[in-house]
Amino acid sequence: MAFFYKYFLADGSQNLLAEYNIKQDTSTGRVDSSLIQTSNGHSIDYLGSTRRLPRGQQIVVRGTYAEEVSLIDDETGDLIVDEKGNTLATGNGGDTLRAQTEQIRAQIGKLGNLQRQGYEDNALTYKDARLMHVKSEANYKDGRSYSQLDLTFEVSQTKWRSFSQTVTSGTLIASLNLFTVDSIGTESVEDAEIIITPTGGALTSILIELNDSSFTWSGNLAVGNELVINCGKSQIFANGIDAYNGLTLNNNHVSASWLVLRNESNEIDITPDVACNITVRHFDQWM
Amino acid sequence: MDVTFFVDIEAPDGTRYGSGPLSNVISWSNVCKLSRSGNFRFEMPMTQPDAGLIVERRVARCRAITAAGPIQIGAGIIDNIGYVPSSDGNIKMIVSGSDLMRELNFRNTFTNSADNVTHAASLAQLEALAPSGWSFNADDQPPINSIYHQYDGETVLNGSIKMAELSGTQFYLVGDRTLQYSSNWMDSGLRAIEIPTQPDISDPNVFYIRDISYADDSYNLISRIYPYGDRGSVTLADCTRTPPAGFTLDAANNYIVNTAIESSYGRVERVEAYPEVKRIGAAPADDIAASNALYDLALAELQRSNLVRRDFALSLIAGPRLIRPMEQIRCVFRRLAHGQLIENIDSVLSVIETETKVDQYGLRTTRLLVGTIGHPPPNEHQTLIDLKRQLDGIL
Repeated sequence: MAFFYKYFLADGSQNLLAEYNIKQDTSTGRVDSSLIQTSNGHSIDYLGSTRRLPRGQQIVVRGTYAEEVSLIDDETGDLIVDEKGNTLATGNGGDTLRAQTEQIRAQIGKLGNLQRQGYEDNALTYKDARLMHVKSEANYKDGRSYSQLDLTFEVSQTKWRSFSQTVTSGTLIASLNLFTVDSIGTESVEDAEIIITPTGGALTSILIELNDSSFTWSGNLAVGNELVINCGKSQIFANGIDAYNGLTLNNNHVSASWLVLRNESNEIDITPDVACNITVRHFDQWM
Repeated sequence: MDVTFFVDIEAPDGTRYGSGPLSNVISWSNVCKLSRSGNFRFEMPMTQPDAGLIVERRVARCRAITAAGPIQIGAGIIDNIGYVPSSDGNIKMIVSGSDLMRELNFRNTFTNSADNVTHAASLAQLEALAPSGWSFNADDQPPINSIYHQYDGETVLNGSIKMAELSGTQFYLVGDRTLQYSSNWMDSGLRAIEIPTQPDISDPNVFYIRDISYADDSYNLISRIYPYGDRGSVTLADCTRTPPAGFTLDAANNYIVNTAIESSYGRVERVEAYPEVKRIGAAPADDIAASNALYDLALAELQRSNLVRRDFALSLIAGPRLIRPMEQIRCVFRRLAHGQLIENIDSVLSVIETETKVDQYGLRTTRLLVGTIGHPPPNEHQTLIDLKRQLDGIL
């Protein structure tokens, strides 16, 4: 799917990125080498068949902001030009152009969302990004001002995330449940949030397993309170209180993250000791 | 191995603090030592909100998720928190301390004594003095099984080291709080080899050598030792031990000699003071027991110093598992130059010290100190120890 960079959202302001003459870096990040040079002159790829993802990248978004003006024409519709052949224009687009560029320049150094939009479906995806550099060149042509901007962003996230969150809810019985969470996109999701709310009594144990993930939480959570498991931040709260002490990564847990949703229909095995409500929130992700 | 690792902050009883592991730990490394306490160190940005969990005397524990499931990399007690502001405005925290054997330094042996007791009984006595939760597992067949020792206010850790010396054993940490004493080096089943042109990193029994250095050391080679205990009042005069083959005891002249070394290298003698060897009582049996304890320590010292020692420092990659002290590993390293085999090492080596590191380059054994002699090398404090012995008075 082709896409272009659309907005940079920081401090609650959605800044429209340049739409004219766009020349945008849509590359992926670069994967670090896994070759190690050794004393006997050979090298070894120590990762073997393990996939390694890019750690981060810089993205340069290049485009032109143009002053919005009305060109002056005659009664036949021909444009009026000056003695050098430049078209004549009217309007206060210069103020708008200055406001646009100043708004972008004001975002320098801020951490926000760099948003891209698909050409085909107009869907927005984003990564957390910091605006590192604004390179600006102003010029004037045909009665209007232009501002050529090269915006350099630094991102640490590997994957593009859907702009809207997918929420999957259901109920669990006090036994093994198969709870299905569908994830689209092209990549797995490692930062889902799971919210368990006991309804059938105090929750003292819950086992969650999916593919290479297997973990158990033990504690005491009263009816109506929430156990919030944030797999992206590796944090767990019971009724808003730190609850990491109750978490055990089981011996068959071989996943880098607490839970990994594949880009497919995921049947999560969940075994609570009381009936519960469950909500799983995630963002679909793409490379 | 490219792995996910995480660091938990715990109370001594294992209760984990916080809502999750520390986020954004940059690197972790820990050193495990033979018959000594190891250490650890990790780094993280101070700007992380959970940096406040890092408090002195709490336990830091690093674990990693591997293909075999979660494994522990190391754990220790936070004793040092350093702050390094950098020019980019970030402040890096460098957190370090000793491994959990540090807890054995929190208890003392006072003036307890091991009065002609077995190796196992001497360890049971130490276990009772150690903090709760600690276990001391005895060697099934200790080379010396009669322990005679008067403690003099050592910490339990130093007492543990002394018991290893007196019984001719070594110890290593198992799990969090178990000291395993042993005199048998265990074959790890692993090989450390140079990387071939077609390496198979899935081989579960092979470490690949990234870098290697080794040195022969004859500095501590001695042929004869003259031991004195308790400011010279204890000698070998009452010793009833029988020396092993290759060694001769001259009780009248108060020395033990290594005959092979003396014939090869000539006479190299050393006077050694063991102020910790004292009579516990005044009976004739105490004279014998103290003299035998002095002999045991002196013989162990002479045996440690009777070979040109070769120590290897290895940096390994693609290690299939963590290796620990008291294991042995076969090391194969050959080097050809100008058509000549200039180095040809194919030895079973004893692991004395390991350093494990996990960071952006994954989990690996960054340093493996292995030797042809299964004893820790003399440490950098030996000169000070010798000086203290001199000040304590020998003769």
